[in-house]
Amino acid sequence: MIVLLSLAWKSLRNRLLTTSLTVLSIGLSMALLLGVENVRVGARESFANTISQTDLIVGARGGSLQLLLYSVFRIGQATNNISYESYQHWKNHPAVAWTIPYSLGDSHRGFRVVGTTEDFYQHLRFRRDRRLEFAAGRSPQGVFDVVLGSDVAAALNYKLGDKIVISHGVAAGRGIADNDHADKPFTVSGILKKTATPVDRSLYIQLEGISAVHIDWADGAPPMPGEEVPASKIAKENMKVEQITSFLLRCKTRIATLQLQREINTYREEAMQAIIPGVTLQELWRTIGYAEDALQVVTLFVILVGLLGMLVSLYTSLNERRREMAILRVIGAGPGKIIALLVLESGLLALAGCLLGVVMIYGLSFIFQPIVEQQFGLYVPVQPPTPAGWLYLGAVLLAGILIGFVPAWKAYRNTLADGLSIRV
Amino acid sequence: MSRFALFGTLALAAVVHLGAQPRAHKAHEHGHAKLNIAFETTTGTPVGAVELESPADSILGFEHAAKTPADKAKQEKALATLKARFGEMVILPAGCKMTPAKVEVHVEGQHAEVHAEFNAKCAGPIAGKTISFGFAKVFPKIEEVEVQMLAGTQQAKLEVEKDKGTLQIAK
Repeated sequence: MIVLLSLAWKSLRNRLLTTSLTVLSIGLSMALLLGVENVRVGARESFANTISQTDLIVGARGGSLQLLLYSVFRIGQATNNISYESYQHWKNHPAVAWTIPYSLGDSHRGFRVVGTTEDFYQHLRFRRDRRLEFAAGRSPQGVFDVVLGSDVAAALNYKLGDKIVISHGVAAGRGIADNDHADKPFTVSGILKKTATPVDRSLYIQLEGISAVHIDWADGAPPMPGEEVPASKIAKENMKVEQITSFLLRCKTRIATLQLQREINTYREEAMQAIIPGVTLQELWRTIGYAEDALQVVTLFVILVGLLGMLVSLYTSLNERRREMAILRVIGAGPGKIIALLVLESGLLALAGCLLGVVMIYGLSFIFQPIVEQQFGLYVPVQPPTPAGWLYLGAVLLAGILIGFVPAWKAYRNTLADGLSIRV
Repeated sequence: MSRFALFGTLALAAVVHLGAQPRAHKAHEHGHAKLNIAFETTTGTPVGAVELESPADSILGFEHAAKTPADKAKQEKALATLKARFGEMVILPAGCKMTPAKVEVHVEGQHAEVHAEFNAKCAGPIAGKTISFGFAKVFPKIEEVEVQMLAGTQQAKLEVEKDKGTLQIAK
């Protein structure tokens, strides 16, 4: 066996270029398969970890997925706002433990600005029971104070006391100059610690701050020159909050949650909807599931192509090795040994390919993890293969061994005489 | 002139009438029911609630307000069946018991819904156990049930078609 192994190894080394190309193609397809699996699992965990202990998300009636995406993941926009009056009504409902209001729609250099209250810093939970902490400073105390998510502070190199201007709208890149709320700059009062959730990529001001920057706007247009209300004349007490975009809500009991959800969904004063975040996430995964399945099929085909490539290279190499096989038989290797040799060769190739795939996926996730997190807010963990990943590795290895029987069978059928009599 | 006055009054009456009646309508699909399950905890002796919202047609066989004695008898019998056999429709882990809290019929416009609430109590932990369903056996007209469950920190959803599928309570 050891002899066979060393023979197989030497034979593979003898055809180094073909061998390494075969290993590379299997390794690449393996890395693709494991990568897709890692991203899938990472995305689910990362999304599920973003919001904890929130029973309901409430917003204007519309798509439930949309409500979840803009409220929690800052993806997309609300088509309608809800009145502050309705928010107060539900906030003061006896079944409600706490609420966190969000007012969305403004941005700062591509990062979203969120109007909220002290409740956000007090009650928001992620990764089961972790709460927001400040790396520096504290929550906004005045109308023109702003707190930065850690990514915002890092990307724009801001520190406490810096003055920044927010823009109307959430288009990526710099806000349109016309839309700048340049006359009312905000002062950085705090910077949050990293949470590895979308919280890191937003700026937070008070609800009154959102009202203040729009105080002199009329019908969604900036004020005419000379009609601006200077920031110095704006005090928190005079700011009236009229609407918010959505709010998170925690009930005192789980049973009350379901009753409250129905109450909100059938509220007659305003068309609102309440969703259970975990339930809506599950709907999201089911929707994405189809695309995931398609991707899975594609990667399986890529693996298949890789394995076929291995088969082709082993099979064609047999022509060059007719004499080698014949000599092996002459010196006493039985058909079983010949078969074992070729199966070992293909098994070794598959094993090397799998190892390369694992190494590549570790390396790639290590390199791309920060980029993916920055760009998509997706925390893909660098971790050993998932159970499904191990299954794929095992299956490829097994397929590699099985494929070895094809050239082995051919070599076995080529008689001793064949290799010795024909000029090769 | 008086004709205009009359027209004006009628128009005003129509506006007032429309204003008084909210025009929002809930989705209503025959054969499609909603089930909510909530448990405060999944350890110790969990206490919870289970509520079913179903088109009346699927349970009573009709959707109008029961006015004739025949309809009333039919409705009473169906609701009694619902109360008595709810444990066969929503099969909670062993050791859990449900008692009816409220079972009523809401008629709204041309549609009616049966709304049933049950209290649930379990003798032991339910973490890691499953909940299965048997609606079709009791009310064959219930074809699809959208199940939402809150259990401790778990939030889950399941579409149950023809009683297929189980809900796994997280460990």
